[in-house]
Amino acid sequence: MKCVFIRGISMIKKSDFPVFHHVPNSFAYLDNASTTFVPQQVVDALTDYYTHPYTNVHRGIYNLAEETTIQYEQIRKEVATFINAREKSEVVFTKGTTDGLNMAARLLVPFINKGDEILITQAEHHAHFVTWQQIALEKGAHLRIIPVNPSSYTITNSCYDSLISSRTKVVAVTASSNVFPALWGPESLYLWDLLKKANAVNAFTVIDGAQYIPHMALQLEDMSIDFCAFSTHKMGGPTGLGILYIRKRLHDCLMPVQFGGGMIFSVTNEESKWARSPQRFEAGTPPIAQVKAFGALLKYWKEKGSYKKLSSHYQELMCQLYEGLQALGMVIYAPHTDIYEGHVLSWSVPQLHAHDAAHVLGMQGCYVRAGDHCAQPLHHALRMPATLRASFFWYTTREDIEHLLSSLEYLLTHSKGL
Amino acid sequence: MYGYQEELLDHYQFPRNRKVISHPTVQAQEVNPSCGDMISIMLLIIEGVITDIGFEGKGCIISQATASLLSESCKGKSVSEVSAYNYKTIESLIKMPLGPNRMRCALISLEALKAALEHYKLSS
Repeated sequence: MKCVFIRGISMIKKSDFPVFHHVPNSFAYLDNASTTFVPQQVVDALTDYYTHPYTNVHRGIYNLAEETTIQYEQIRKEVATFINAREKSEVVFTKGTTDGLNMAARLLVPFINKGDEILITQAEHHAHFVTWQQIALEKGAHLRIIPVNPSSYTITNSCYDSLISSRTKVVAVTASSNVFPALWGPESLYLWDLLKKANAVNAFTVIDGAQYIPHMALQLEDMSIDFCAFSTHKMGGPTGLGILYIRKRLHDCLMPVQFGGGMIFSVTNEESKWARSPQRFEAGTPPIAQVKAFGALLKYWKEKGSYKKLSSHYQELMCQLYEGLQALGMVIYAPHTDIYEGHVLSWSVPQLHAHDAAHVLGMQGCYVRAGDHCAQPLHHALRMPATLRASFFWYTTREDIEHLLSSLEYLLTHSKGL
Repeated sequence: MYGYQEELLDHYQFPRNRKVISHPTVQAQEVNPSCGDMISIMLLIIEGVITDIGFEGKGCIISQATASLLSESCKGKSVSEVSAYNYKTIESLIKMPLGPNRMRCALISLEALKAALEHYKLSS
């Protein structure tokens, strides 16, 4: 049965993104889980920053330096509002998700003892999986891995109920997979359930929000999340900038893991004292231009974006893609359902390696990812081959999906007999 | 298939030297970590000459066809001659332009070959 949708009317248009002014019509970019294009406002903010007198932040006391600091801190406040944090001191600027997840893990190292358990999922990106694997090895802790159901490609309570206990010190999980569209079930139901159970056993909670924050609203405070990391370049913002949310109640007991200018309260020959959060966790000159550009992106989203409309738009695209792939006989790594969620879908072409398929699709102006998507443990556990992955962003259209499906049809016709 | 040379596709469909050499002088295996593609190369070397070569593996057209092309190119050549093979050798064998990411698929057989030759040099 075909899915029927009331189409979400979004004010976001491809023409807002200057990249699309410079590419042919036959260009379908479907690798947005990797990185996204930026709207003109972000480009303008970067240009504006570098073409006007600028300074460092938190250092100079002349007018210009004060103004730069005020603007930088204003954007921190806007980020806090965007992610529903209680206050701006909970927002730490980092280099990206990987940097943020590594920092969160290092900040928690002093609390982890031999024999403690660290709970992650089988679906973690290497940035999260390897980080905790290495800390477990270093500290003599046990890494417990929540399996993914091999037929539904989801995690439900039966996957983790027996793994969470009073021995669990950290629950470190992705909020949204970069391989499967609805890892935690409808509306991420089981993620919230797991977080509740983590809180009940006083475990620290770390969320990889790289694939969630750009597409869905997250109530960080309501969910009692301790850490959440994401990147701005996966949501129409600049590269080189990420956000690490750190829950306020932890600020004073976390020892900084990077040292340098800007994070100091006082230094003597014998000892140092730290500034309060967020400065405590931002050693050295931060990516000021990128922060300003992200501020422009948040303004753009506030004016034109809506998670509700986005969700409806993605459901429509996902339905079109799923049914199209199914009609072409693809092996899809997601179950058939009435309501399609998420922004990523992975599949393989029978008898054809993902790299060959992606190569030929690329020659036809259709850009999808091929490989293990930085999730080798997941591919091994589910015995999945290298897969193809299409991922959406705010500007993805039905025409992009049509382009992909017709290119795949062409590929199938021309690869017969191989 | 669109974009692929006929010769390359022929080597993929009808690989040369895809076989196991029961008592190789040296052998080595390489994997492309981004997709799990694998090539294992076995060499029979007599008096410094590669008299026989066999390979096994799994993966994409580029990785498997390149292994076949490379195996043909090596047979009968001296170890010192084949040791000089590089990126450009592979480019000339596959006769199609590849970006640096896709080129990794083509290079795993060269890396396996180089590793096998290193073993040979160390053991002889």
